[in-house]
Amino acid sequence: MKKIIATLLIVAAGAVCGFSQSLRTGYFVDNYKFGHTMNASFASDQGYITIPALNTLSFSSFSSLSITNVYFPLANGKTGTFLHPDVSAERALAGIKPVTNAAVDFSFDLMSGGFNVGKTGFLTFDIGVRASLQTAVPKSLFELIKVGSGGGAASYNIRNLSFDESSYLQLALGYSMELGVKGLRLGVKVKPIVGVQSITARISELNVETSPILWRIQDSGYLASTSSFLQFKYDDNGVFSGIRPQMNINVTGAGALFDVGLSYKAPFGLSVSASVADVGFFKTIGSFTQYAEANGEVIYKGVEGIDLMSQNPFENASSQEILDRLKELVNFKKTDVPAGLKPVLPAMKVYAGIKQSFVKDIMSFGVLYSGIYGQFSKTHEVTLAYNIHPSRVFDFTLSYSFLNIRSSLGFLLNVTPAKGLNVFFGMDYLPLKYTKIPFPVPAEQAIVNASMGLSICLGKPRS
Amino acid sequence: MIKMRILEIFVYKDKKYSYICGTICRTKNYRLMKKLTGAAIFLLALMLPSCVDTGINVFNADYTIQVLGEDLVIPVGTTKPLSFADLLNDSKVDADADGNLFFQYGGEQSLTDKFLSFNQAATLQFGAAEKHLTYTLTQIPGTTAIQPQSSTYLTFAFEKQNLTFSAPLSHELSDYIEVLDKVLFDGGLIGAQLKILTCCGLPTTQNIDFHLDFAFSDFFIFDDPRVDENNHLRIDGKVSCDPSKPFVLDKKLNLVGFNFDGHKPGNVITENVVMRGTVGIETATLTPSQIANLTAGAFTAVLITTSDAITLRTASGTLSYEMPSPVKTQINLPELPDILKGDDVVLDLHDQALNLAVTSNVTVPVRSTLTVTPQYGSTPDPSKAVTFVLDLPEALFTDKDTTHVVGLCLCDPDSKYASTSSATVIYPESGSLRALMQRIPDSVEITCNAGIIKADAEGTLLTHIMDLKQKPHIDIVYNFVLPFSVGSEFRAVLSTDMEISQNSDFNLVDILSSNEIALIGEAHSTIPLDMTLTVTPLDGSKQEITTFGSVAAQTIKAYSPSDGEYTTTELDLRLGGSGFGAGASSISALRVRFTFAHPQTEGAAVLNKDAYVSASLALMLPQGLVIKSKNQEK
Repeated sequence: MKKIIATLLIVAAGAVCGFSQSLRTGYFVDNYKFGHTMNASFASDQGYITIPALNTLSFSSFSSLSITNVYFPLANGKTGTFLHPDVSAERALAGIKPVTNAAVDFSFDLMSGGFNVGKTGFLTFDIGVRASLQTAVPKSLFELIKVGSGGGAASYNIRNLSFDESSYLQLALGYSMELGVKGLRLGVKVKPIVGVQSITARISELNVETSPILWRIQDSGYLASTSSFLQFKYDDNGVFSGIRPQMNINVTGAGALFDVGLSYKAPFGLSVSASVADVGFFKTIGSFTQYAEANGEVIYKGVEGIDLMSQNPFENASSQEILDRLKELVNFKKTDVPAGLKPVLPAMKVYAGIKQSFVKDIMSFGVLYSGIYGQFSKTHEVTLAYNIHPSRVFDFTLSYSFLNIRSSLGFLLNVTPAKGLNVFFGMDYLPLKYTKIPFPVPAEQAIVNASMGLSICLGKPRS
Repeated sequence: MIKMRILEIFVYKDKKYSYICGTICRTKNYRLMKKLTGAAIFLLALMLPSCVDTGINVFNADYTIQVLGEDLVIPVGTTKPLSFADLLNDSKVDADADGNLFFQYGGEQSLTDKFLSFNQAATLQFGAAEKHLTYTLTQIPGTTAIQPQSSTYLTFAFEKQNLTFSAPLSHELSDYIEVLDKVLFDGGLIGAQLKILTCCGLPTTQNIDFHLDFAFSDFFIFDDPRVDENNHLRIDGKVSCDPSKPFVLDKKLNLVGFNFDGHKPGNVITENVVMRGTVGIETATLTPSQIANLTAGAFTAVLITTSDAITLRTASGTLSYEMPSPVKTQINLPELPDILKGDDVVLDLHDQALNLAVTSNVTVPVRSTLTVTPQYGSTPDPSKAVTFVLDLPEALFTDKDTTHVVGLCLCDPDSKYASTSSATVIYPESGSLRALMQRIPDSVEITCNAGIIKADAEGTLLTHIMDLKQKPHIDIVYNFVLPFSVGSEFRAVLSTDMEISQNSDFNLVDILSSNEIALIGEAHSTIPLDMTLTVTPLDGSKQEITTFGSVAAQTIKAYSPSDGEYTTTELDLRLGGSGFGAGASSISALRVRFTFAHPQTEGAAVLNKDAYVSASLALMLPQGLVIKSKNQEK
């Protein structure tokens, strides 16, 4: 039992969340060489090429839950989890969003580069690995765990409890150019992707009804995997029993993503831009997709016909039997892959920004809307960015993001000498408050992302 | 031109911007630069990380968790309908036509050999008696002379009256015969024989008319049509005087008894049996020639009376008998159902009935005093003794060994549990069965004293008929009916111990040590008794642990017809909590006790076999399912 509870805690509170995304703080930084990952029309004024193995590394760790959502100081001076009896339900659930998204996101470019082509053209490419792990836990699940039946009848409708993991290889080719009007650029990027594997576990609906008379638990969900080296195991009854790795690495599918971006830089320092990224398709190859489905209803009314005169009237009410029956809820049975099963694709992103430069472009202020339209969830953010660009070599940007994610500050430091190495390091989420010892842990939000890169500048800057 | 160096932080000093390191920018707008620099400094200051004291220290965390919140309710289930009959769980519990429960047990008791014995079977006989009548012709009694009435004929007659036969008769009867009226017997015959030996020379062809007239006293009781209502026997006939053929008249009369005519002989029959007879010749007509042949010889006749052996069968009179000492019988009551055992059980039962079926051949009415004294262990409780006085009517007398059955019900007049509708209802002279059975004893001692009823209510002596041949017996079959029609003091208790396993996933002891558990739900009852459920923790030696304070208790309300199909009671039975603490580890079992009590409403509560109590139960943990962290446990 304790293991189950601990597992639930880990899932609820220990996960990180986020979507694979570029460093938004760099959206308005002209010399940020990887702005084209957000808007395909963005072009650096100088070519670059990344160094293999010292390449762009992006890691995001993101959670709707913060440490202060999970841990609470107790009246006795100790620290307790949100499930501690001394932490009231109201207090425990106050900071939990309707859906707690939890995931790990990782991207690594094996090689990438950008080249000026012609007077206004800019060609980019990158080859990289993308991997993401996402979970979505609705608040109602936390309510169920924390509040329960509340002494009477209660019902919970928990929808879209999900876990997704996917990894793929991506080759991106992009090109942007001016459209005949100075400052007006259009960019397009094509990103063929090759799937390595994806796993989805989804409880699309979990209805829990509790009363003193019965517990009714109804669920529907599925397990899906597209992988050549992870094989589902089933027991004799065709019930999913685990995953068995096997040495068989194959391409499990292929597809392509597309980015389109448009930007315009007006002569008086105003820039507007908009883009859509990661719109595409993916098709599985071969028979690597496995699918198991669970549709169950367990009605637990206790034991019928309790003989109060018996020495042990509850002998039929063994906890093992109850657990066995509850396990029926997660009896994923091998099922044919449904025709409409969609592979897990990177979420579509939408960016729209406006920037005003002043003091001869030394400084600028921008407002960016970024939306991530995932298959199962959506997030929206507005980022305010203040950029200091005292010289061509140096950029420093401060950002402030808010909306879906708790408001957070970010920064980007970008050094772009005319020759030599371009180095950048930035974070969109910079926790400013940390709990005390033994080590700093973000106090208000468990959102961390970091992006860093090292590239070699090629050629002379255009301007 | 002013050179200005900028890094993250602008340093403004002496109306100049200085730098730590950085690059160079050029501007002439000092004021704007100053403002922007200030803004940058401000923003950077915002970015400075800081430690805040949130009071959180994850390395000193208490990982005690409470899952599913407070007041966690887990369905336990529904109970089987539990009827009162199930609780009694005894084969002796039965239901009448209306389904109302009653408990009965019975047995037999015999007073044979413990009551008076009439066995006086004996024979008696009185001997033969002869009367010889010898007369000369001229001496024939009653004739003045034999005078020829004519030359042709001679007519004469004689009569001998008050011939008395007497025979002694004695027999000793039981001394409890106070008044003897009549003794009847089997096979009594009394005979009369007439022999005419000589006829004074009368011709052999001469028939002599004769009549014998025996006048028996009232002492004799005949059952013979030849004996008239006056106890007279008259025999008429003719005899011839043929010496070669002596006349013999032999008559046997059926004598069935002696009538003592109410006098009091004590316990000994001493009687002279007297018979009187008359013999004579009313008319004898002889022809002259016959007359001529008459001799002066004797006329000789012999009358003989005899009797056969007489076996006494019944005696009629007034008996006076009391048993010299009462007969005591101890009857162990059968093992009671668990629910009716125990010192705290009170049976306040209405309409109890003690049915007696008395089989007897005693032909006299008997009055017996029956005292039922309860015994608990070996200690009698005379204060609850019940005394009945039973008048057992006489058995109808027949010729054969006969018995009769009398139904008696020691119960209320309108008891529906009398064995038969014709049963005589007997009320207790003292005490009450209801009080006697308030606490069912281990045994009862029945003290029986009996005697013969010799006079009626007005003091007139009764006439008893005693069968002197039979061995009297009185056998009693009793059946005690205890209907579960209970009064206000009724209380029945049943308890059962539930073992607690400390090795299961659901460790009740663990929960009780820190938490409170509550059994909640709803109970439906059609039993017209309040049912109180108590739960008491027991230690390893099954002793109630009292240090935890009051035990959990819940009363399920008695059924009231006004509630409809059943009466509903909300359940909330709580146990454990802070009062238990570490002491909960000493709990090895829970004693669940059901106490049924009258709801203190008007009238008796009648328990029906179909009455039941059922419940839908849920287990509530007011503090939820709490799992303590290891460091907390330490």
